[in-house]
Amino acid sequence: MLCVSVCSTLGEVSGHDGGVESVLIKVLLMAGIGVVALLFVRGHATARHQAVRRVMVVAFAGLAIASLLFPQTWQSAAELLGVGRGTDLLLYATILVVLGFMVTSYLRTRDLQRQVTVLSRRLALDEAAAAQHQAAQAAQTAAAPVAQVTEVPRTPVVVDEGPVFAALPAPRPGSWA
Amino acid sequence: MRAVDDTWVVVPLYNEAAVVGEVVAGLRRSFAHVVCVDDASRDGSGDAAARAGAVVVRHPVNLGQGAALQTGVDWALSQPGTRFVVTFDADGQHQVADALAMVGRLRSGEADVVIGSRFLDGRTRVSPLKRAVLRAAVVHTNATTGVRMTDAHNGLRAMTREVAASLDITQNRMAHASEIVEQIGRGGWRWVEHPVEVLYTDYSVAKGQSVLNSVNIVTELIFK
Repeated sequence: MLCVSVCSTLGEVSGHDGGVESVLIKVLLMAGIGVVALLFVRGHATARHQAVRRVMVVAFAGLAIASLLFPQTWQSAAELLGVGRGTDLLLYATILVVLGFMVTSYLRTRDLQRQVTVLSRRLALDEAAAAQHQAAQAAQTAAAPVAQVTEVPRTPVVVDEGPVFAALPAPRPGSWA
Repeated sequence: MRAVDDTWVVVPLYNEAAVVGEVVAGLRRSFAHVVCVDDASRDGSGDAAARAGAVVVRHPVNLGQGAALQTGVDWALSQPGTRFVVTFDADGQHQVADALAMVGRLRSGEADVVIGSRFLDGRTRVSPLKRAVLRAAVVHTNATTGVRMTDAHNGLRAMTREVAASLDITQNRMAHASEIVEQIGRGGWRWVEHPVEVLYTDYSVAKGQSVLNSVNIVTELIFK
């Protein structure tokens, strides 16, 4: 849905001063959108994706410095591509980058969500299994009181929390909310 | 009648403290093993379910119904002697008798999966709008999964251990219903539909799926 709104923004921008003049820029932009869409469909972030991302960050920094040193580069590139002004070209490029960023962060959030799910599930199942085990043991002890006598009482583990921890106020439940 | 003890009933649970106790108690009269997956409820649903005799598996954070189902299935498979797994909603919409009949059909060897459908007999009263939305969901599921069912979003299902083990629900939120159908289709399992009654009580209508939520389901299915 976000994609749709960005794409329509792209359309509006280009339509603002009578449409994108050159076929070249249209092809370039469409190819850019295509790459982003492909990224979206291909899904999982691999090591290669990460490498590409890093290269792009370096390239971005390089381009940023270059456009500070030679501000007229954008203008000449825009003229070459048939876009009226350098700022317009910059705007198109920015929209593409934003689109790409949206897709990659969506994918990463989704992967993260899956990891959280797996982790939470493991935790929930382990806790339930431990509770079940404990209940079964309790039932066994209740059923056979003789066993209670033979059981070696466990020495309670004393943890010296020290003055630093003792001085801290105990967190209240729900205080994070 | 002796309670069925080779079946685990999986009940995904999220903020249903008002009714879940009754639902679990009803199930426990016929099924020995009920596991409620408490999806980080904030109203003490988990305790209510535990008091009624269910095993409660608690998600530390809210993950969604699909995730809760998968957790419940994992629990059922980890228990010794599990032959069948039933999924059952916590809000009191489903009938225990229907679940029993579905397990009976599995036991007879008729199928590997029995899916509940509210459209196979006249018992369930569905509002026209809800019917239209559910029909649209069925059309979509049939088109994308190649499995032709009459009710794609019914939470009452019964399956053999083998089918349960083959499930891998990754759609945490609501799109899991279609995902389950898809995986059943892909697994080549023998499935049948079973007429079930979905009881739309005032409670379940007030709490349940709003028709608007179908927007979320569609979005999740497209951008999965």
